[in-house]
Amino acid sequence: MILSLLTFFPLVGAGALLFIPRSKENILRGVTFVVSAITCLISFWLWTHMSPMHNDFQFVEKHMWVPRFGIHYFLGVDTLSIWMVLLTTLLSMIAIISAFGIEHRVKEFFIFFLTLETAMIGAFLSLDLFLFYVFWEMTLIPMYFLIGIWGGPRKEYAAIKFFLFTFFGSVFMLVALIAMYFQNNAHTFDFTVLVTQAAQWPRSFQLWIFWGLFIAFAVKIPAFPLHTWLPLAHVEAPTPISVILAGVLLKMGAYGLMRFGLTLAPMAAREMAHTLTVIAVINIVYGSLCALAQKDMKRMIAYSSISHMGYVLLGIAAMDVMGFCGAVMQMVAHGLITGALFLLVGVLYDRTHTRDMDAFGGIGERMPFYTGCMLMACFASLGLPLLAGFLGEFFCFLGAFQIEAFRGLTAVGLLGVLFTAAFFLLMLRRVFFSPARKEWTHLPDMNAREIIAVLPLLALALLLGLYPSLLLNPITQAFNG
Amino acid sequence: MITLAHMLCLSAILFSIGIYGVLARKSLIAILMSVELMFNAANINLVAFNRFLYPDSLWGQGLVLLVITVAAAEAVVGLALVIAIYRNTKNLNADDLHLLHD
Amino acid sequence: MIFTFSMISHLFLIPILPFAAAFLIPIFGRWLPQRGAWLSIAAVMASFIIALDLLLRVGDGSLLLPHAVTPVPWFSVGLYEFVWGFQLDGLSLLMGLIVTGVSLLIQIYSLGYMSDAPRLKQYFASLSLFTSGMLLVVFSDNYFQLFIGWELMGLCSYLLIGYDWDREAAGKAAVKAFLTTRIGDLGFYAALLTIFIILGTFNFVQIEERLLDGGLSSWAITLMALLIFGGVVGKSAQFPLHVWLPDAMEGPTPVSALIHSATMVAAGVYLTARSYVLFSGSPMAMHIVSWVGGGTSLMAALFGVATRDIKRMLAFSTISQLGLMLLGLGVSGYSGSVMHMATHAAFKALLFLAAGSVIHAVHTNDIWKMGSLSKQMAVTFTVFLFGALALAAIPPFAGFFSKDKIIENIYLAHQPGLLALAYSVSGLTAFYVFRVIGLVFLGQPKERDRFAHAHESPWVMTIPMIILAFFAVSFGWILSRPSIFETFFSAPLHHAALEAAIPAWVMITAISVAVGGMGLGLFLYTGDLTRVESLARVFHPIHHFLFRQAYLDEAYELFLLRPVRGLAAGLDWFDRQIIDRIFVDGFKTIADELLSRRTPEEATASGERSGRIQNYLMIVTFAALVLLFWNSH
Repeated sequence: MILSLLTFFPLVGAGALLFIPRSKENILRGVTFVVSAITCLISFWLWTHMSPMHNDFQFVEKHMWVPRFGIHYFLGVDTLSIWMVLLTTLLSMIAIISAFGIEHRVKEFFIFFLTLETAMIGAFLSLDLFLFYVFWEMTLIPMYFLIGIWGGPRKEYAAIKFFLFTFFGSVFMLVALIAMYFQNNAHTFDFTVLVTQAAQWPRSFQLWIFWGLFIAFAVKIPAFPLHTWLPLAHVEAPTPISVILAGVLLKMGAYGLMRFGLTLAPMAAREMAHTLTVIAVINIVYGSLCALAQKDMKRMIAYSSISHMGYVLLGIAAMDVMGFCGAVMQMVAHGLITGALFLLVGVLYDRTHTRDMDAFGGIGERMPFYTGCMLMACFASLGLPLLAGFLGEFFCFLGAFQIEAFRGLTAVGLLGVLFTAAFFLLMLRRVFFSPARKEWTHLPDMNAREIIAVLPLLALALLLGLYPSLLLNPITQAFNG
Repeated sequence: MITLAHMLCLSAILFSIGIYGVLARKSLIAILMSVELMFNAANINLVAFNRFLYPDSLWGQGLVLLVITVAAAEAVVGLALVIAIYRNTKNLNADDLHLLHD
Repeated sequence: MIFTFSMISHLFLIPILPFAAAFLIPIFGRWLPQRGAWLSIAAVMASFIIALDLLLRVGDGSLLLPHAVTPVPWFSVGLYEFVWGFQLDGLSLLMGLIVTGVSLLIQIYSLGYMSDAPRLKQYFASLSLFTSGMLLVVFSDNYFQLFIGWELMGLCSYLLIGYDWDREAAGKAAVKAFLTTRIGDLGFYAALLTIFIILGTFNFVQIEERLLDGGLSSWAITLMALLIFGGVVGKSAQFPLHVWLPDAMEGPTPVSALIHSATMVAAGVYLTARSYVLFSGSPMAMHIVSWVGGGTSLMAALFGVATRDIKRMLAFSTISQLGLMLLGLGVSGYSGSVMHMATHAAFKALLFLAAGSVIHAVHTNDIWKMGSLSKQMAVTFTVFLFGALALAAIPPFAGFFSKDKIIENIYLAHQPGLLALAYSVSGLTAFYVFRVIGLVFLGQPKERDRFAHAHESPWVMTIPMIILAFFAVSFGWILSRPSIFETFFSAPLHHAALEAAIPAWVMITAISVAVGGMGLGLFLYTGDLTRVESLARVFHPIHHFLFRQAYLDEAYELFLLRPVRGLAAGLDWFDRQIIDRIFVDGFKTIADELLSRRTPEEATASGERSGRIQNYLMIVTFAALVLLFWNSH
């Protein structure tokens, strides 16, 4: 019951919004915020009430949906999903706070946003492959509109590109799903059943399945070379949507790979681990180098996202406890930190309507609190210890390093750490720590709304950096068990 | 005797008329009517197969009910769109509607 | 003692107090006196007192070294548990005292030096955070935790070097420092990964046990040692990662005093000393350490001779002395190097503070614009002189005892090349420091106005200098007392060979070389400068080469930075033009090419892209029919 409530409450909220006249913008904002806050609280309640000893799925809801095709309405949560859901609800709430600044077609924005939230939560909670696919696709349409209507100059192009790219990948996943449906004895889409049978499937079949699934997830993660939609989408999307895109949607790809990719084609996954590692290292190094060459701050952070998700992929490819712990830790950390980074860039953009690094200078003098926040976010992103990002990166590397065959590659991946430091520091210097320019003499520092949106993310990044057991202990137990 | 072949022929003819209507008529409402014709052709097919090949089953006729319902819904949507187009352009000539052009 | 309950558990507090201060100051600084400076000083003072108490308890025997504190569990991953662990042994206690003591003095000094600077909250918070980072490095019992403190220091040095960001040079220097040490840190990072894979633990004690158990290939040990050394090269500014230290002088002088002389750069030496057992297991690694250290030492000393900036001279001398320390460690001379690390902390910090005092008075760093300042700033002159004598290793000043120990160790290791190197460096060191004394404090003032306005610094700046001067004079003698020496400087592995007798000529050569250098420096650069000018003409090409630091910065720019930037730009172009085009526009282009070669207008007319649904449907129907009949064959 609770999981369905958690999943569909935002959708119900969206329905409620339909009845509010579009002129009453403050009511719309208030209702949306309350809905997202309640969803966040529900997910928090769920987290605190999860039994740590249980290694299996909890709070399971399973009902027959389409018996003819073995499709169930099957939701369940475990240690991996709960963190994804927590991240989703928290970032959604924060993005909504940040979205209070949107003035244009407020009602539609929040309706689409809440629908998106339902879809994201549902994707993380579903244990029936068909249901998962439905929720996965359900994220595309709100995103298309959210980018296409409220975005920047090239919003339509970005929206279509995002939609088609992701859809293209999803088609492969659909084929894989259908193939699995026909292959298994029970003719069902039920994940728990499929997992038990997956090990017996013939090797070539597993390879096809794996690649079908992986292409879909690779587009989302985003993995080289299917990553080019991301920089454009981030640049053109409005700030709250960038936060959700980087913070949650990318994680859906990684989550899908961990939950479904590795478990439904175990033989194939092991064989392909080396390829995955290569792709991961390319992501890391290529992403950070491309970030170094950018002039637009948002595009730079988009490439840094590609780089950071490379660490996640590296950890997943390692397929050992440390790698998985690192991957999950990095997923959460990246969601928080990159979310904060996009919010902060948005702060500057709202005031100056430019994101070109060369146009700025001396912001540190004008906006000290903002500089402090940006400093913390950048250093968290480049992996300073005692902040969440470091542990994620470190354990991804450690996990991968334990496999002999990957050591050389992993060592190359370390270069990413260097290049990441380079572009963040150069950005900080160009924008903040340089002689001031006269155009920017009267920039106001962060206002209350912006502070409320950013601080929780930074605080959590610090908290998880200091006290990672919150995250790691359950995951470790789950994998040990 | 009416055989299966007769029914199939009938439905094929109706279907072709429908296709012709969809592709060649100028008026939007005519196009919609042709689409309905195609639906009904398919329905005739279903009933025919049910009657002649699987007399004990009810699946064919059941599916016909589904198709009729869906066709009705689709007609509603189609007509709503037609009305919207008319309101905006006062013109229901299919040749004049090329907003999809690049 | 004032504190009656057990202070061992308070070992934790030593790094934590300044860490807490670093967070409290930015939040509450507005309401605190002096913008939180006093909070920072109080925290460091408290840490110092705790460390002092620990020292006294070791002294009266109530506390035995080495002592480990029960670790606090932090988190676990897989089967390995990460802990917050602290240990107390001779090395860490010594460093802890030095770090807290010097940090305390420098923070007091900063009250005067930085009195009119903006953003004091940030300054003192960063200083506190830096101190806590170094203390974390020094008191950790495992590599992982050490790395955390190591990186924290990197962050703080970035913040503090770039403190005066209105000057573009400062911002650039900060980025350069962070990125250069980051390159070294990649080695350390890889070392952490490798150590964990090979030895299965990060804990020092466990690692030492496993190393001593044997059974590891020498290749593995060499690899681990060299990777750690990578981090050392970065942090301790050895060749080829030394280029950040001279530029780091852009930061305020107290920052240079603390970070780049007494503590942070010494962290690299500390790390090598802490990993002594590991390094000793690999003769090749030791060899590399000593030659890199020695070579850097000589190179930096030569650069120091040619410079005209007082702080840069000190920076080069720091690089040079650190090189000597690593040289000593490389020849298994644990005791000499650690002792030199301690004495160096004292006299180098002193020299920097005194230089700061001078700069504060004459508002320039250029030694060719100063002169005869001994008349205007007697206290500063005296303390600087003591510092210089200690640096030049003239007996009985502090530097003499420690440097002599290093030289003895080199002799015992039978390394004539390195011995000659060490002597040369000694001579050069004495030469360049007294060159500066001659130009700055003695002789005639080069610029009358500056000279007239120069005055002694306020007490808040001179008192710390005097305290440090006391140590510059006596520290060497104090540390050589047998009981103290044994407590702090006994090497983890006992080398019986080092008990051999040292002939007298070793020490005599060292002293004469130092005195000779001092004499030459004073002779050439005091008073009448015409001798120098004629010499300068002769040596001009060499001098210029050294002045430009052997064009290493330019080499890096050309062979490293430009290619990387080019690569980045190239990959970005590749990403935009090729990958993007392939996947996105590619499909569209292929579709266009395959279906028609006509222009949009023509296509419109012919009905393919007319925008009319019926035309599209016609195509669809046709295609469906084709498929239908094709399939049915």
